[in-house]
Amino acid sequence: MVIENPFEPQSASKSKDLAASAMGAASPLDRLAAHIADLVILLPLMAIAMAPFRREAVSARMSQDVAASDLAVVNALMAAFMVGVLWETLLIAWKGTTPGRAIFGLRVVDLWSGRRPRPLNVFLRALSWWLSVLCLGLPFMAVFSNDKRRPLHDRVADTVVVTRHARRVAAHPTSSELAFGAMFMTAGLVMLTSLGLLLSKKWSDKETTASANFASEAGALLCDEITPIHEEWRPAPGQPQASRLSVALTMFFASRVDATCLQREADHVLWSKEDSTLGYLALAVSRPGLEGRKYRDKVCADDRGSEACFVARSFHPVSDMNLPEGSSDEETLGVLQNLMTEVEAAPPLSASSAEWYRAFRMERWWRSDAEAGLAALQSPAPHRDLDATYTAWRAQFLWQLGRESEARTMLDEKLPLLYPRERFRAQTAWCGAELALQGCGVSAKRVCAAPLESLERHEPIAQFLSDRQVIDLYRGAECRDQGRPSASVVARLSREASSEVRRWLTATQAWREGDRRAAREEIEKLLGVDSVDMSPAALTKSSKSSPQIASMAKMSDESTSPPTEASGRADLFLNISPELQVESLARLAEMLDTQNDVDRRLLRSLTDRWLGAGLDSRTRDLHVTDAGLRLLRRLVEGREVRSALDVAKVLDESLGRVPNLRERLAILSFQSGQRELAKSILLTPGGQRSKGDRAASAIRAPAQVASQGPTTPPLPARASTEPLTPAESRVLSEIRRSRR
Amino acid sequence: MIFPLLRGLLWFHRAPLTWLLVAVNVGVFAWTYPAFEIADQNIQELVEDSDFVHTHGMLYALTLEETALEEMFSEEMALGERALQERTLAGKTLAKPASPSTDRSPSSLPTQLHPHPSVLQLADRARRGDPVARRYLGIIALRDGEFMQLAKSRTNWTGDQVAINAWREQLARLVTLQERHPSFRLGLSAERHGWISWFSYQIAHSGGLHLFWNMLFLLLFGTFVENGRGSRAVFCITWVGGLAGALAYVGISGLSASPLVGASAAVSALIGVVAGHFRRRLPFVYWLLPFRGYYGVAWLPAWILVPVFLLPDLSGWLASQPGISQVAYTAHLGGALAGYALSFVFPERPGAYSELAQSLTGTAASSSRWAA
Repeated sequence: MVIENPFEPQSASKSKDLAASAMGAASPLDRLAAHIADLVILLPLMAIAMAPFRREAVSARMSQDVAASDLAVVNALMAAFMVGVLWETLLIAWKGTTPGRAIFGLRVVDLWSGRRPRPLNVFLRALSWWLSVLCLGLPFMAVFSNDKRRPLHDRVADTVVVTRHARRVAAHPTSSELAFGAMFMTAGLVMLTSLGLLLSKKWSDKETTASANFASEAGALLCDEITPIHEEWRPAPGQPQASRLSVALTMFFASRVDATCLQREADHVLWSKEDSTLGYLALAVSRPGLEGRKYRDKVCADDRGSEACFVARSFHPVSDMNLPEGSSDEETLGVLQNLMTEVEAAPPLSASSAEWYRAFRMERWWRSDAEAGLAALQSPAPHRDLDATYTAWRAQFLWQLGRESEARTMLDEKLPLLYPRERFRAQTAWCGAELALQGCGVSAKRVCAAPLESLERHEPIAQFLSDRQVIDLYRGAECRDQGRPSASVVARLSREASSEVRRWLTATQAWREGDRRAAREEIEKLLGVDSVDMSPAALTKSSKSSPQIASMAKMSDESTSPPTEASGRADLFLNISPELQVESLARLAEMLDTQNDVDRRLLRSLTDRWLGAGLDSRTRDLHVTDAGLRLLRRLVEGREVRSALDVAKVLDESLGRVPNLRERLAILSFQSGQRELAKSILLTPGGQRSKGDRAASAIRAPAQVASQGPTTPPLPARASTEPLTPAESRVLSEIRRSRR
Repeated sequence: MIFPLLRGLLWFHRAPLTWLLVAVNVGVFAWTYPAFEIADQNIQELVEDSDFVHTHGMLYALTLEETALEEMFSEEMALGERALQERTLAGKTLAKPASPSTDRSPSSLPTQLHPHPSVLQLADRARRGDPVARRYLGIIALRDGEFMQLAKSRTNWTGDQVAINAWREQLARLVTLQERHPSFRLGLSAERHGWISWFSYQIAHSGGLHLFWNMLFLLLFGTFVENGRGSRAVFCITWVGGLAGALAYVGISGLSASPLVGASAAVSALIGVVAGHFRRRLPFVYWLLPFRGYYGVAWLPAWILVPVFLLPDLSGWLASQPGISQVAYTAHLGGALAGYALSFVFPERPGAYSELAQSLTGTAASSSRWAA
């Protein structure tokens, strides 16, 4: 078989046909316009070809099947592409032109014969035309640069597009035409790129939502996290096996699962025709606002005294009160106070109480009744995850009860068993407790190092920190880095903190950097005090507001009353969390100049405010005590005898935590003429401290106190405590002598 | 890109009926606009309320499940008494006291509650707790006439009672709003399908743009047809075309709870008449490129109207999910077919077309190559 050379011209005479004909190459604009005219018919045809796939895409999107929806879109595009190719191939092979081309008198002809091209050539031409479109139309550029006006697809198929109108024969390409082509292509490129970016963004968004929502395909779409916990749930002897929803509720109160998870579980129970109070309760606690209150009313409809009703009401306390428009602040506070007592009158934990009730009380109220909390935690938790949470709580209660050594022993023992997130929380709380109890000592530095490292390593467990945690970690960093927390810690903290704590953080950091005036103003603003103009009304009001009320107001999702002019500051004060209030108060006290009259007045008002919070024994945890001690030191320095004695009376036995504080207080009262009082201050020993604790303090770092009071147990020095001066020691011995 | 340019637009005396129709449509829209605006906005807010739509979707899913169970049940009944007895002995009471079948509207027209496979799939997902499926299903359920009837009458729903109570309140609000909404009063829906609705739906519109485009094409084609075939022809073609469109729509997808409105079917009928003379050339304004010589007026065959106006309807119908589409494509197609058929009943006055050609040759002559 002889194979002919395919590239050899078969007949030389045929190539003259084109030259002989009157037709010339068509102008590029005519060709573009012809394509656009074709679209009038081609687009509806393409739409019909795409229709079934578009329908598929819609139903796939409805069933959240991203892969099927994308496949349908690709199929639709392929269908449109095939219609386009068929249109070109059939019409040109049959007629040599398309309707749009015919309007402009254009024909596609074979380069050599000048006649209608062969079907295979036309097919190749149509394919490469569409491929050029896919290449952003770049191959079309050739039409601006050669005399025969043949871009890629014309060369592939050996064709040329000619025009019937002699007047419209394309001229030799001009530079302006090239410029036009370049502009056209650039515009197309920019448009396509932006379109692609837009699509890819939409695509990635779609994927994340789809994967988040639909974890389990078969059966009910329940919360995945609950399944393993429910399987390993071992209730206390005598208790029935808990339902899935009950487990979910418990884990929600233990902050192990989020509201969406709980809602899904509750939704499933409620719609599967079980009329379940627990389901309504779950929705009451996980849905905010009006909807949540409707569920609360449903929970309380049957039994207003039940545990479930109490829990639901404590999540939605505010709508119970009917405050008339424009009621005064005193009235608002009074109503809040009533509400608080009503909510606090909770049914006690009994043997028949469900696990979720225990978990709930842990979170909400046992912060203020550590004794009861500890008692309730005696029985073991039904799941190890919950046990970890309870361990962290138990330590928290022990700190509050002043049983530091027990807390330390327990944490030392259990810390390695905790999950990373729990461990981080426990260590952070431990760090804060050590700092509050004994200042920046060796053990505080040791304990604070671990959570700070987690923070610096950007571990995911160190996310969404509470106000308390941010404050503890910042103070830990201050202690570790000798008063100047590293920039990385501060940056990380401020990213994880709420906006109010972030303000506090920025101000405190500014103070460290030396911008003292701005820092002080910021903290004053945060606390709602003003050193220049302090109206007594605002102060009395703010001193009345206890942290509970503040937290109640924070919990409520409706504004209790329109903020009036007078209560503006108090409202601001109410808006920040109790933890932040106490810490800001102590910080501000440390920033004040005790020799300045205005500052001393501010110090006194801070004392009033602290007393408002600190007198309430339920909230007087170790951090409030610590703030009181820091305040007292400043008061003693500023020689504010009355305020200092007020604070000291409240702090009483905790005074011994700061070395020499008791002595200095005694000196102060002695020098102000209250000799008897001075004597009794020195006489009151810190002896009521528990035995175990004294043992623990004995093995701790050695005392660095210059002069020891007779009864003060040796404690590691607070970082900024100066030893007694010789003059002070003289006065002290004078007091002691008078005592003897 | 191309747009028909038919003569006779301003000949009031030659096309009085078309102008009257336009005036009636615009007048009705202007008259009902205040009520329309308020009701429409409120209904929009209600439909966007996610809790309402979720509950609505969930109840729809449960109803669909019950219907499917009932069908199974009745099949078993047909199989014999024995199966039934066994079921009652087992204590399974599958028949609900207020079952959808007893509430079925007396009209023989289909009013949906259609178990289309994709909707059933959605219902399954919704029952399992998929919030997105519930939302889609809620929107579909708002268009299901039979379910809306059931939703209003039935009281013993099982499920999340708090959500159901909130939903019931919202539904009552929706019903009062719909009673005030002009589209629901004039439109053709499962709620209102008396004989008058089959005609009144044509003069109500669901918005300013909807009205504008319908009136524009009504004027363009109406004046041309009225000039050629007389007012009686236009009267019959528009009303019969509208009726045919509504019939096609109801026949294919059933009566929806959301009303059918608009003069589109009548306009499609007029397009069908004009496009029926396939090979006759008509003037079109065209605009291909912003350069001299690429825009102007061209005389193109009338069949061009088919891909420009009717094929998009066909593809839209093929691409739309039943019960979800906002546009009644089938009504357009039905109207166009009726118009084409009616064009033989009302023949054109001889010479009407050449009048048009004469009146426009001046424009066409400017570029001689188009005239061919």
